[in-house]
Amino acid sequence: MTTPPISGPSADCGCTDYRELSRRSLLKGAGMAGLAGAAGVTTSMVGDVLTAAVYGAEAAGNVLVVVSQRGGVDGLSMVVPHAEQAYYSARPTTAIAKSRLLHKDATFGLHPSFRALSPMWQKDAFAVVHAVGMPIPNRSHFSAMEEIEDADPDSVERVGWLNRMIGALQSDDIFQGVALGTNVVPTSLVGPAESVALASPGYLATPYAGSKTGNGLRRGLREMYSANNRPASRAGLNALDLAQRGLRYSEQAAEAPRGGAVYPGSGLGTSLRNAAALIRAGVGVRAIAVDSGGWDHHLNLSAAMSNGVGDLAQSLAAFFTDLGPAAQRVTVVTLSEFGRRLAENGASGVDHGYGNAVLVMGAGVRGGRYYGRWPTLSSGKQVEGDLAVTTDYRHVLTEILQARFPSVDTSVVFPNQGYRRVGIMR
Amino acid sequence: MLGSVPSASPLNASTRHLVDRFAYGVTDDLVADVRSHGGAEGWFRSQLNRSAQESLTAALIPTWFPLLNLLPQVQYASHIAGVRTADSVGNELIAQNFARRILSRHQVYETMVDFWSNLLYVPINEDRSFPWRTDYELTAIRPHALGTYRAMLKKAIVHPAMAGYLTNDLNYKDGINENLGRELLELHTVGRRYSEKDVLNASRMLTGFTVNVFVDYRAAYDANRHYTGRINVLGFSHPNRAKDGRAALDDMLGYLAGHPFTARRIAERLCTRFVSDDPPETIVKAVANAYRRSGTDIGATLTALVRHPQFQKSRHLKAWTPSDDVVRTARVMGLEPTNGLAMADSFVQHLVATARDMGHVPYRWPRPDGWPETSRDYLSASRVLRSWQHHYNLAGTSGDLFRGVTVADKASQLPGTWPRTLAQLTQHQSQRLLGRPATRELVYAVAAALGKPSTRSYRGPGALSDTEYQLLRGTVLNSPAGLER
Repeated sequence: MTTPPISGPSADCGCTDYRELSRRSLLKGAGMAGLAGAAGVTTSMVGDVLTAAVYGAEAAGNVLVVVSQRGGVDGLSMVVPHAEQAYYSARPTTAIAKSRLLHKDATFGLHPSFRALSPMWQKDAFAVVHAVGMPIPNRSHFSAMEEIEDADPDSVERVGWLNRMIGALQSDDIFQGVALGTNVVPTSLVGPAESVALASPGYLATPYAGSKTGNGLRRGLREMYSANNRPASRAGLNALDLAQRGLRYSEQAAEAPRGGAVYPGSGLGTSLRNAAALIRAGVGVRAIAVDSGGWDHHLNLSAAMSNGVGDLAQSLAAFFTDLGPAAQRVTVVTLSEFGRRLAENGASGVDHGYGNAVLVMGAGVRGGRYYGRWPTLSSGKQVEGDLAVTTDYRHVLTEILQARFPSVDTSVVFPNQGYRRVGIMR
Repeated sequence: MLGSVPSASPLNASTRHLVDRFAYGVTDDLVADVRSHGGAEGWFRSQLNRSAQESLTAALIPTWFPLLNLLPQVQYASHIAGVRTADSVGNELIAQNFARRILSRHQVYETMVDFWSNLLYVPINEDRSFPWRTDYELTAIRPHALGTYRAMLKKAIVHPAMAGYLTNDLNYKDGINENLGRELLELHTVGRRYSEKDVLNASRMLTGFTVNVFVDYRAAYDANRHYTGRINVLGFSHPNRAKDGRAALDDMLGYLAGHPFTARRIAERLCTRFVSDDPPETIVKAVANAYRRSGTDIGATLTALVRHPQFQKSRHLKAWTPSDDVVRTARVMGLEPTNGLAMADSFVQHLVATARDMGHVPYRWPRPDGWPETSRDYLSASRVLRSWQHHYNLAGTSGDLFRGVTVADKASQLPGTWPRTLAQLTQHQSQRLLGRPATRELVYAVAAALGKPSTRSYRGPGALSDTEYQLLRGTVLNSPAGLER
């Protein structure tokens, strides 16, 4: 049996990785990155130390954070249509009185638990679009979330819109698309462009890192995982890349939040705290997917919304404080699979519905106001007892991408959508 | 004892594939079991009958967790009092399942308990259901995991844990709550092939059940809350005139269990777990047909799956989920838990924590659709990094991790004849731990990790230091083949 030599040009310095980096960046520089695989060159990822040089420009790029409100948030409680008598009569025990609402205009007001985000609203950095959703109602949690995150109804390929977005950025940096708070990549990020799901930022290292054993092992791992292109092998190469480049992120995440930011101890708070560290670490992240659970309001809508919106608002407020100057690069949008039914059920809750509200905040937003064409809640305008949809959610996302990621071809990210401008972005 | 008898010769490739998919890692005992049943076919049949005698250790596992059997109201009271939180109760149930998966001879049964628990999904520590969660597994899932899906569905849907989790206790004739009704159709039976009218009708049929949540969790049926009047769901029709609607509901659940769409959904899910992420249509059809023809019989359905030619064509196409990886690693390393007496630092509890660190613990998925059955969802870079580390941890032989566990003697895990080169030892361990020959790259990696040439000769087990032993075995599991099953 032949065994590769243990000693050689790259013996104990771990410099194989750097050699690969320079080879790769040369290819990139020549605009030939796509040929790397075809030419039989290893598809290994880049090394850590030189990352900043190679990705310097990328690292300062704009970032999109997508907060998925899993379960189907009640848009009518987040953004209350206080001018609608139909809202108050359909919800005898859970409607929110007009007097309690924040930042009212003639039609809408924000749930009182949004208070932590009031400064952003007042600085015009926080906007709302109402009556948003998919063109056709889908009241199944799972298939609605799948459909929203795939966002390409004419294709059977399982590729999510965030994956198409980072794919359109023309670089295959594993840190470009990141899901935080989970090890399972969400549908939106699934696809050919490299992305990573991180349950937490700790321990992003190969075993025995920093020792002679660790150096030898890393070479061995690279050798084993480069031998074929099966899914397990690709996963291993991604892991090696992550280990080399994740250190700076781990260090950032271990530090205290900046600017006196205080995150709630919730899953969302933790994920957004890690998101801020990731952005600050300058590892080239462009899209971050964060999950927020607990929005399936079959019972006790009022308590769930007070707690949930409070957590959401405090987490996001802390996030923007923590980001400091980097906040100029970061735009946040919320998405949920569907809104809730207009009428209460028997448990002071609301079952699955249709039209919903979407929150947009941060860089580039023309905030401090409500957007969308309000269909009203009159019985003739409802869709099977639900708020109708007048704005396709893809139009909101398209507008954000066009404003913040001008190099991305949005017709590739959201094919065949017949885009109509909403007006939320500067 | 696991791994105490060196295996004579490895299983043939088709048998190996069967046990890779339906057992939590191949041990010498498992190989002996397969041989004693005359091979794959006989072993699988005996597994479906659960005819094998359990070891004493395996039989005693429930006694390690005596508090799991407390009444629901006591479970809740001790949670409120802070004596035993919902979270720690949940960890015990998972630890008990891990122990069974490691020690039980009924590997197919334990595999299917996990599969059905992930389909008729109730998480472990959800507020409205946790006091009933252990009872749910013991009365709804385990008795039927190799029986019929119809019987299991009928038990699971009316169980207080399911009612609490999907708010069916809040579903009554004047206040229909569609939560369980919708998931019954979408997740538990026909898939997303229902109308909104079907959801409403199914929900109406489900009215009447109560659970006294956040008080004493007493569960009952209140016929006064049951909706009466004709119910139409996906071709099922019932006058539903009786005040007590349980018999009518039973009819509806029986109908739904046998519906062709349900057969299709169950077959797709089984094939996604046991064949490949995108199973060929021919095998899905064959499995669905077997399910229908047999009247939802699980054994007949699984038999059709493993006998179909596409099953054998799927070798190595699935990946170990993190929690299965942890259990598999313990088994192939020869680690045999000996107790878990509710000790937070016992070996089985460490295994649960390890699975959590790798991002996947059974019954801890946050949504009613259960963990993904697709392998690609578990191949994230961070999971792989964690697996690499934990494989080394579990390849060790001493330390805080190894409390309440018997660690197999080094000599029993290594070849019987010496001297052996490092390359030969790698070959031996690759066959032993993975059932596959070592690749050139694996031999290189072991040598690189040990900092020794692969031609290095060892005179006997004692010549291999504990550290070398750990690096050797951990690196074998850390090859790409170690992620595949």
